[in-house]
Formats: sequence, structure tokens, C-alpha cells
Amino acid sequence: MKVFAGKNVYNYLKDLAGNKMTIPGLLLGQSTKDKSYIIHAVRNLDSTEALAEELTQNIEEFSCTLIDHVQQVTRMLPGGTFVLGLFFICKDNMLASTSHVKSIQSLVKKIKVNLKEDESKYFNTILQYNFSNDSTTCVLIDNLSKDSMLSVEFKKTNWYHIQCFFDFNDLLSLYFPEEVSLKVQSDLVLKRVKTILDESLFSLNGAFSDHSVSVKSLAGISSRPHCPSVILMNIHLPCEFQENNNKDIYIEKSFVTKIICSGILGSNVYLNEEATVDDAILAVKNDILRSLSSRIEMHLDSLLEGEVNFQEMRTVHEPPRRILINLPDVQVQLSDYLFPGESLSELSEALESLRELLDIDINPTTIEKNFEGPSDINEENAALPSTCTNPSEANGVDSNSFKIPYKKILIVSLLIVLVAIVYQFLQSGHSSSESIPDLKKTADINTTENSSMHETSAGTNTSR
Amino acid sequence: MAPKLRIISRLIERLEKVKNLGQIGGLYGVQNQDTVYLVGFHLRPDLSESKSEENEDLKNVTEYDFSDLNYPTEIDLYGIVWFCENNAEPGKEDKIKQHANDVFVTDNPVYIKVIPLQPLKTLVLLNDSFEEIPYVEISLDEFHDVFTYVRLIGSIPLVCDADTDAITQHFDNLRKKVSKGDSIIYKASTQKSKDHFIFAQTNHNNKSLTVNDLIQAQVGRKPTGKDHMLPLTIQFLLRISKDKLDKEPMNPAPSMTIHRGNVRAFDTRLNIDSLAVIPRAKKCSDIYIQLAACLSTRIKHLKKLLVKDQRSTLVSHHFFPPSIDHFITLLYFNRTSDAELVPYRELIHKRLCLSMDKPQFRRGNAHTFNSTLISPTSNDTILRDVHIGLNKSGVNGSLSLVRGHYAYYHYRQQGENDDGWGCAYRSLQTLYSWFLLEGFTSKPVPSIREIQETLVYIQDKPPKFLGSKDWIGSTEVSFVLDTLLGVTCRILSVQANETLDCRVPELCSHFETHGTPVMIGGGVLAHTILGVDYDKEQDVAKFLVLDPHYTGEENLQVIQNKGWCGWKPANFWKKGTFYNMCLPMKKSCV
Repeated sequence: MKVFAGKNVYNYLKDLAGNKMTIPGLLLGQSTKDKSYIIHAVRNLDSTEALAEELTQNIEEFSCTLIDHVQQVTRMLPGGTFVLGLFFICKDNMLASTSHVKSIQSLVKKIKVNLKEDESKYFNTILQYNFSNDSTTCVLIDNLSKDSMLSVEFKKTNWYHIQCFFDFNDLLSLYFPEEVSLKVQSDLVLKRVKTILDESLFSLNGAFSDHSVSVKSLAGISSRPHCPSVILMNIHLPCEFQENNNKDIYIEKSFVTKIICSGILGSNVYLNEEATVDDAILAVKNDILRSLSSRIEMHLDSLLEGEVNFQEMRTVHEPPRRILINLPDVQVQLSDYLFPGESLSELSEALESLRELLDIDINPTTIEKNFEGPSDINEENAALPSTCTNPSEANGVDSNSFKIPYKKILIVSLLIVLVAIVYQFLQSGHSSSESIPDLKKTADINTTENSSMHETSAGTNTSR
Repeated sequence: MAPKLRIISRLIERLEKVKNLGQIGGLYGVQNQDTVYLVGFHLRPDLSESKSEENEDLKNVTEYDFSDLNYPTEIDLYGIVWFCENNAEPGKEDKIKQHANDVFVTDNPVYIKVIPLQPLKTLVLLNDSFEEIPYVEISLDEFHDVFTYVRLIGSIPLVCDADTDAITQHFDNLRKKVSKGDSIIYKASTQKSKDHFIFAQTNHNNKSLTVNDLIQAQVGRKPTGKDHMLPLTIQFLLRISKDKLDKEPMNPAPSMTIHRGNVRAFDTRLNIDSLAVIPRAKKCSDIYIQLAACLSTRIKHLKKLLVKDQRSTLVSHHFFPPSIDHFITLLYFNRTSDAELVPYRELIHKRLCLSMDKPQFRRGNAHTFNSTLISPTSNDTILRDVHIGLNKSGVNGSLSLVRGHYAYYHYRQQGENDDGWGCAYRSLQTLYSWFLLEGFTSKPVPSIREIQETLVYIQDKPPKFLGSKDWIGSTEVSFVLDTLLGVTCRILSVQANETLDCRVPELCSHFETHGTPVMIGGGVLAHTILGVDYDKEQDVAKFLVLDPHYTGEENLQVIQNKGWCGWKPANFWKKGTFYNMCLPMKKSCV
């Protein structure tokens, strides 16, 4: 096994070593059968020096901190890229001590059981940077001893950039014969996407290549002259003929719920110099599924308890969309997610968390925030005849659309109050509007209970 | 410039046979470079002025039912045929010119004048007037040397609300995809490790590859004349990602809309099975448009039919009636029976000027592409038409053969252990298979058990006959055919002091008029006779015999080389024995 890392990784470790104390962190990168490429290293800011040094005493607590970090960082990685393992800035060769080796073993074991299968498979490297003598060594987790040390070669690696845009508009509607939770519904969407990806064929730059061909050889031929370095991948679903001459395959049933998916999921992955078409396909599949499940997870987390009103006829769910973050000094972009209504200027909080997760300073102007656009469901809603246009109808019973509010619920509620007040003001000369107190009441409820909001012309078409 | 004109022999034969004078028909063909190949025609009563009863009848069916759907893609309307009594009819030419406006695929529509007892007159529209041009008659084989069939197959899932609007929208989206470059790509599986893909835009693949090369890659050998009917099978793939080149300024991120409330939805698959005719020499990179047209036309017709009835699956049936020598594809709803389709089939027969005495468009008549090894009845593979490819009988007389397809039933098939007693049952099964394969019935060939049940049911045999190994003879064969199919059989006897030679004229006439296989039984043996080669002058005859006593595997070579199917003289049957022959008579029906 050979381990490669960029100069940026070396500089980062060297800088950390200047602190002259034990610092643990994560290694992010890609690995092949016999090579590992470290893209980025990030210290774990949550672990105290004491915790790291007294590894043996506090494995439980330490592992929890790391697991959390691994999971959050993985969500941001492009498909095919994983947390490859841990690094330690340390004073001496940690692996010389049997007790340290044992501790690391049990720490790694604890982390691995908490990872998904493929994530766990790639979590296999321990790197140590000895600040006493400025030396870097590496060892594989399966072979953790001071005798099986590998050296790390610091050099520049070329990364091949592949993009793919999975079209959810092509996903057939899903029907449910009985009431199920949003979690179950989302899981089914995820499962459906996985099945489709497993059945599909993938073309690169408009042609099907042998799976053993190197991605490097395709990088030259691009269908996009303005952006020659990006290889475009397309997904093609075979429509196999099914012999059914003797029976009808038509099924008609009654259902209580229907899910329609729409929008485009942008996939953005990077492949190392040795990667083949097969690796590229795996990476894109992995990326689509990882990104989709991350979004769903974040979306479900963002919903406040009891907020989802299952009595509504129509609910629109807009999970956060992907934005791309440039890593300094490497041509690889990581992902973050932006909730609908969240603007980049409000991102300082998010940038802070990025800084903590990746230990990098991010210039907001370098963030590619238009990789995916905001969902266009809003316009669709506005066009729907069922959407109320008259505030007097807005107090609930007839309204059959409903949107999940996120963080800015207060602002929205205030907006509704404002609209109601304006409306009341405008209507003050007329005696007809008995509905105004009702509307006011609705708005009040929203404000106080943080509950769901009915889609009305007043508030929801444009903001939340 | 005037196109060169080729007409396949069968079309000329058909045109000359048309009796209803005054009629106008559409001429259908395909073009390759500057040559137009005419292959078929059908009557267009909507254009004819004569008001015969039959015409009125035909007019009740809209042209849609007989539109291009029925012909493979690329076989289009190329001209007009007029069946006239004599050459001169003032003003007719102008009318024909008007009708020729329907011809969209060429600026030089063809016009054929058919006058009884005169050679065909072929004209072509040049500079607004018809000018006579010569034509070359070609055989079907010559046509197939230039063109091949492409069979596009696939299945598209259709899941949507069970209402017409939703279905219509689904179909419209689908057609939009088909017409949009590369939203659909086509695939030809090959025997090599790599399949061939056809994109809208020529990609970096082998650009000089022709359709014929692709057939070769698909069948794994150089296609010969024997493979003429072997289509190039093409599948398709639906792109489910967005080509960034056609993306809008910004792609909206995925979102999910959940609708609550009772809804009826339906879940089915649209099976696509569509044919096209494409020149063999054409470059594979140039056939995308034809494939897209093939798919799009089929989707259009499926939509039209499915909106009418969504609850039954539509199945495509490709027919290649030997009397017209080109494909006609018809879509039948699975649950509409052959009997219910009689009026529809009658109209098609009339339009195509086909005889009304033999079904041509029943499900059983459909062409099977794969091989001769397809059994219409069970999962077993049973060989069909095993006499094809045999050497000549050596008599050099006039041949009277079985007309149509049959399956070779013999000992030990379907897991039966019928050696020594089942030969007449097997011969009966072969006779029955003819009626199935010729479309007279859709009921599968009965098993030995079912044959016994039938004989017990009509009280010809006692109940203990069921499950026995008792022999049956030609009268039982005729009873079973009568009971199961309503087919009447003629029984012919050969007395102990006669030979089969004395029945040759009757047998010849049977094959000419009915064309069904004949069962012959006597002594301890039963055989099937498939034909007679009779030299009248020398008074010599040989009989084409299919032997049900074969116990081997379904191996055509063994069957032909070892004489299990072969030409036998009359002394093949022992002298001094009494023989009965069962000659099934076909019914006149469509």
C-alpha cells in the first residue's frame, strides 16, 4: 500500500505540530486497492489535549466525539471520497507502546461500528506526525504495529472532475395504500433511486466506455468545450422487454398518498489518477445516494416535532439544496447544504460550523451557491387553482396546500400579521370582512405555537 | 429526376388479381437512395368513387385503423394505384394527382394503372404530369438483400393516476423525450462483450459500421440468405439524468410533493414491439431518426388505444402472410378474443384483397422471429416445419405439400413414456398444431391425457380408457379434431390388396385445397403425411412422411438425416394391410 498526500496536508500537519501537543484529527481522501490519496486533514476541535493524551482512560467519550465528526464530515464529501482514518500529532511514536496500540484499536473499532458499510471499509489508515522529529508515518488499521510502518509521499495529485445531474422529474410517482410517516416515505424514495441506479448504465462524455478504461484517458475528450476538465456522466435506464403475452399486467388500486418528486440532484465527484470508469460510476452512485440521504436526514431533523400535519391535502417538502465549497490548495470541492430561504449572507453561522468541521477559512465568494437552484415548487403553487387567493378563505378549512416551515418561521408569521394588518387597514372602510379576526387568529397561532402554516396568497408563495 | 422503380413480384401478382374495378388503392414502399421499392398496397375506399355495398362497408372504418401503423416504419405511402376497366377515362388523371398529394415522402409519387389483361402501367409524377417509367420486378429475396427488418423492443413503466388526463400527459411526456436528442438511446446487443449504442449525435464509436455489420455481430456469423427474416433487435434506454448542455440557467434542487386523499392509480408497462425496414448498407450512426420514428409512432398508437381502454394490455402482433410478403403489425387488446375481432379482420382482408377462406391475422398467425424452436403451446421447445431443407424426393414430379406451419410431435415429448402406443396421438397433435399455427384456434395442442378425456367425454371410449395405453386410429383422430376444433375430416381407405399409390390423386387434391397434414394408420403404425411428389407421366409418386416414432432429442439434423422426416415410396407401408387416412378439411374463415 502506498500513501500519497498533497502538500496542503503536509503544511497543515506541520502547522499543527507547532503547538507541540497531541492533536487528533481525520484524514479525508480516496483509496484504491493499493494506493491511498489523502485530500485533506482536519483536526478534531472538540477533543481536548488531555482527552487525546490520556487516550487509554477515555476511549468512550473520545470515540463519541470522533464518530460525530466523521459522520458530519462524510456528509460533505463527494461520492467515492471517504474519511480514510485518523491522524495524530504526537510527541513520540505512539505505536511503540502496546497500550496505545490497544487503545487505538478499540477506538477504531468503536468508530467503525457506527459507520455505514462502505464508510467503514475505507476507514483503515492511521497517520502520525511526530513533532519531536518532524517525521510522518502511516500504518494500516488491520496491521497496527510499529513494524509495518508505511511512509507518506507528499506530492501533487491530479483530480478528475465528474458531474452528473440526476433528474427526479423522471422518477415515477410513488403511491401508498396506507398512511405512513414521512420517514418511511422518504426511505422509499431513497430505495427507489438506489434500485434505478443499480439497473442503469452510465455514459461518460456521451459514450459508453469499458469499465476498465481509466478516467484520465477520458478527461481529454469533453463534450463541454467551455469547461474541458469536467467529464459529464449520464444515467440511462434500460427498458427491458417483458414477455407477457398471456396475461394482463395492468393493476389498478386505491391509494391514500401519492408522492411526486421533482428537481435535479447535482452530483459532483473527483477521481484520482488511477481511477477507472468503474470507480467513476461507483463514485457517482455513492454521491447521489449520500447526498439524497443527507438532505432527507437534514430535512427530517429540521421539522419540529408535531409540525407535520398529516391532515393536509398537499404538502411540499423542500430538503436543503447542495452548494459547493472549494478546498484551499486542492482542486476538490466539498458540499454543504442550504435550506430554502436561507441566503448566503445569513451563512455566517454555517461558515462557522464549516470552519469547525473542516478547519479551513472559507471565503463566502468562492462558494458555488448556484450548483443547484432553489426549488421551483413555489411558482407551481402560485399557478394552482386550489391555492386560495382570497384572504377570507385563508383561515384554513378550504386550503388544501401546506408547506413545512423551517427556521424563519417567526419572520413569516410576522409577515402574515403584517399582511393581515395591511389588509385590515385596506378593508377598514368596508364592512364585509368578517374573516379578518380569523386570519389574525391563524397568524397568532403560527407565531405562538410555531405550527404549520397554511399556504395562502398572503404569505407562502414567496417566503417562509 | 425520376426515381428508379422496383416492385416485388408478390405485389404485381396481387395487383393483377384485384377484381373490383374502379377502386383506388395506396401503394406502399420504401426508398433507398434513388430507388423506390414498392412492396404492398391496400384499397382506399375513402378515395374511390364507386358506391358498391362493400365500399360503404369499408368506409365505416376510419383510415386510422389502416394507417401506416400496420406497415413497418419507413414503409410509407409512395403512390396511388387505380384499377380501371380501360385506359381512357377523362379527368381521372387530375383526380389521381389530387390523391397523390397525400404522398408526403417524395415529390414524385408513383401511379400504377391496372387494366385487366394488360401489363401494369407505371407512371411517376414529374413536373406536374404523369410520365411513364419502366419498373423492375424483384423477388422477395432480392428485396431482403437490400433491406433488413429492425425490431425495436422494450418496456416502459407507466404508473400514474387512473384518469385519462394523467395518462395522456404521461404519453405526451414520453413522446417529447423520444423526439429530444439522446433522451433515449438505442442499444443492439451483440455476441461480443460490448454492446453497440446508437446516439442521436454521432459519437466516437466506429463510424463505418453498417446495419449489416451489426446483424453479423448480433447473430455471431455473417448473415446469409437464410437469415433474411432475422431482424436486427434493438432495445432502448431512457436517460434519467439531465444533460448539462440542455439545462436551464439553474436546475431546481430535488423536492417532494405529497398528495393526500384517495386516488386510484394504475401500474402497468407499455410493451413496445415495433418493426422498421432499413437498408442493410446504412451506417449505424445514421439510423437514430428511423428508430426514434419507430418508437414514436408506436407510442402514439398505444396512447390512442389505451385512452380508450386502460384495463387491458395491448400486445403487438407481427404478421407476415405468405400471400402478401410483407409485415403488417396489429395491436390487439389481450382480453379481446379472436372471435370478437372477426369483423375487424374481415375488413383487413378486404382492404388487402386477401381471400376470406383462411385466417391470416389471428394471434396464432403471428410471425415468430426467434427460431423454429418456439413452441406455441408449452415451455417445451418443439420443432416446426421440419421438412424444410430436405433433399428432393428424386421423382421430379409436381409437388403437393402441406400449406402452412405444423409442429413435429413424437414419442417421449412432454415427459410422456408413450413408446409403443402413442404414435397416433402424436400424429393427431401434429395435425392439431397446424390449426393452431395457422390461426384457426388459439387453444393449445391437447396432451395425450386431454385427447383421452375428449374421447371419453363424447362416449366413444369407456371411462377406463383414461390413463390407459390403448391405441387410437384415424376415426378417433377425426372425432377429436371435430370435438375440439369443429374440423370435419375425410376418411380415405387403402384396401389390403391396394397400395397407397392408388390414393395419390386424392392426396394431391387435398394438399392443394386444404393443405393440412394427413394422418395415416394401419396395422400397428401411425404416420403423418406432409406431401406428395407425383410424376403423372411416369406414374411414380413419393410421400413426404413425418414419423412420430422418433424418441430422440429435438435435433433437426438427426431428424432429417436419419429419415424421421423424409420422402418414402408407397412400399414404405406394408402390403396386405388395411390403412385408413384422416384428412382434416379446413374451414373457410378469417
